[in-house]
Amino acid sequence: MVELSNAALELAQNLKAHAARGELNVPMLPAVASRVIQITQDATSTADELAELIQSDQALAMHVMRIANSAAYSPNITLVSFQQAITRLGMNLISEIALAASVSGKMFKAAGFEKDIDHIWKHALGTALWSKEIAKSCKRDVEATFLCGLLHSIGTPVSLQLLCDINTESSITHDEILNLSQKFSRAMGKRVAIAWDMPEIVGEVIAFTNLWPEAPTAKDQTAAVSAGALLSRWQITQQISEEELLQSDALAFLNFYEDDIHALLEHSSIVHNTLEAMTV
Amino acid sequence: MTYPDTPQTNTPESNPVPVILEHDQENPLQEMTEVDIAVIGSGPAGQSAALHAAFSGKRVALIERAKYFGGTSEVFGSIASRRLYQNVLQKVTSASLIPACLAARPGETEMRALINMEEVLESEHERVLQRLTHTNLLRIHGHARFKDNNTLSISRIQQPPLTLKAQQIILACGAHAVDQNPKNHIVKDQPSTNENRWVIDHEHCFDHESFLSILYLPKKLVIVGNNIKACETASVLQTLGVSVTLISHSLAPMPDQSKELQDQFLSHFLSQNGYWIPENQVTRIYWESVGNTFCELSDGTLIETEKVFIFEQTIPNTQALNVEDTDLKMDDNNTVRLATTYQTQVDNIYAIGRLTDINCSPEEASVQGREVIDTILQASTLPLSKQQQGKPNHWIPTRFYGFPEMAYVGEIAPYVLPQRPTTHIEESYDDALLDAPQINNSQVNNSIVIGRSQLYRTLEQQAVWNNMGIMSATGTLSLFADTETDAIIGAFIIGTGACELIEIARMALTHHYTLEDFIHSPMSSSTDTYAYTAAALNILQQKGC
Repeated sequence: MVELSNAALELAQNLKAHAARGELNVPMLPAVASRVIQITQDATSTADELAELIQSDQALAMHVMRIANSAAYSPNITLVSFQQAITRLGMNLISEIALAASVSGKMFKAAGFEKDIDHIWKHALGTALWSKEIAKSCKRDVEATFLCGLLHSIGTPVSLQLLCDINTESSITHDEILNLSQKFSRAMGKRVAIAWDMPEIVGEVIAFTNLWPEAPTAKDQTAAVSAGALLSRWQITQQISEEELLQSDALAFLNFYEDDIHALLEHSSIVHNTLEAMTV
Repeated sequence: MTYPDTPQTNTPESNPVPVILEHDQENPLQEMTEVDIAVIGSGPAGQSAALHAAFSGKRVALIERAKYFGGTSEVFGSIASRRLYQNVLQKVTSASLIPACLAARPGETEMRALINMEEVLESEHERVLQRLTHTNLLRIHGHARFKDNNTLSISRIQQPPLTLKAQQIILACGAHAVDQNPKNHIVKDQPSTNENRWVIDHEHCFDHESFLSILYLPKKLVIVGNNIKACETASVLQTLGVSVTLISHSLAPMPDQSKELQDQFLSHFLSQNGYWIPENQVTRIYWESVGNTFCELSDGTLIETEKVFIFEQTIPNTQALNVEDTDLKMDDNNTVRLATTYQTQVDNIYAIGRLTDINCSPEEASVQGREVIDTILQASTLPLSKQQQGKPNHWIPTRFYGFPEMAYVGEIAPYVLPQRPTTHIEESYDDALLDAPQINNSQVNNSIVIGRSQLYRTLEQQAVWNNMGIMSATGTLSLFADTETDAIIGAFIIGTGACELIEIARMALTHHYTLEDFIHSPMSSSTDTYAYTAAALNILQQKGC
């Protein structure tokens, strides 16, 4: 753990003061992402609307097509049109891809921290994908889990950007700012969930991922995202051993027997391929 | 003896049994444990068997694989239905009796605002534990697999595995919904076959467990199935403004229920703009866009909807038991083949509940749990305990469902219900009519007479329930009595909030009530209970008294 200098501690106080004065500008949820969420929650919306929305952003449309054509999704077929991709993959999956692409690390501007944000975001995506696999095994809350996993650590990059914005002291180290961003992650995540008008369950998961036993109403969902984060770290950083996964309290809480965990890990190549496709 | 050291309890002297507490840090289970009876599954069947055996002085282990004791099917079934219904009722009541004022709106309301399954599971688990902890049975949270006819290997979470030896083993592990094709995602151009009909992905297509954790209340919904759970769910969600299409393979809903209930349900369902599609089968379910999930029916009809709930096609949970290492035989539909009532082809292994009859109700399963223990005890050389010496089960209510309260108490089912087919046959409305009850103030035969009365409801209650489209806003009571002796034979009760009437019927049977008891009892004329007096008077009127 990084020992914080006085300057870093002052920066933390400064951020709190900004928050108290209502001067923190949480990044806007990208218009495309906001619209994607709106469409997926509105039964009267049509597939054409979503297709039109994604195609209105050329970079996003290309990104979606690239992912749709990746081995993870279309191993034996080449998709040549957006409509074909929709038919092949289904609009919910296309929505998830679009959401992951539009709410991405690129939203955040924190000079010098680009690689850190990429890493944070890749972990968030991995968490979203693993959380969904876990939720499917549990037959619970599958619909909301991808979004919960994707945004569980949204407070970290937002804090990172805001700390960079208000920092005027050059003596504060890179690691200190990263450390501060993690300290503010939970509180900032809750602000983001409110600012972006997320379903209540998303806010609860953001607030309690690392404290899932204390989650007031959605302990299962929060434990699923916490376990998803562990699996994501296991896969991306290899800093977690398989033995540690077998001993995961979150997976135990969700009633995963050793056999179930091994069955879950059989999905690792699918998750890996999807993750690689989404983070190209 | 391999039990942990524990004090003795009061049991028949001939069979002293140690108290077995929940295993914990201070009192861990030994690697090898022996019991008289091992029960696999803690649903209504397993609970009932384990409790009855424990009260009878047997050393019993109750093994549950799921996180919570209580049985997945039961908790996600009638208990969840009841909670959802209560919560919806509360919302309607607080909205000044006008459904349009409901806070819940399809497409905008999170399902969690209506029912939080975590809370339901935890509270039910607590209730089950309260019952179980009053006995000396051993509770084991683990996954049991057969090693041989008498030995189970039990894997546990974050704990060492156990080996459990048992003289008798009772299988009561229920059933789960069928995923028609888990390995194959269905896309639009995929040809449909009978073996390849749908994938339950828990996003578009849900089973009876996962539908309770959908994110938002759908605006349009297809429910596949015609059992009482499907009909209950349809009613509740209609109340919240969801447009429900119900697809049934038979002509009538709830084919194993009384004609009276079928008619009441259908009438309300249609009046709430429900779409009833009888005598049809779903051949394929696929999805291609947001809000667009398609159900293809056997007659070629294509239904566009938002979500699909599957309430049929369940199979017994036998696959994970490792039955290959036993001499058990399975039938084609994965049910356990029985040699005699409850006893499998292996002498010491019994099967009850939905393992042997996929349509078995929780109440029937519960009765089977008691009966299988009676069977075992009668076959054993051990003396019978006081608790199980010939206690009749006929006063135990059967088909007791939560929405609305409905129960048959006493041996009256033949007068009320269509006979359940023993094998799958095509249902017919006409056939159902043949067996439907003829209970409208008429004598069934010379020995039994039936009195009928309406339940008393306040205007406020009626307004709420009518607005909700609940099947039985008023409710009825049919009282069955012996023509000669006036002894009460049973009662058939339908009525929201009528639990007390069911209990009164049980009390009447256990205490051998006659018509006179109901007529002279101080039943309050401003409550449901007066229905008993009214029904008794109705019988006297028929008899010309």
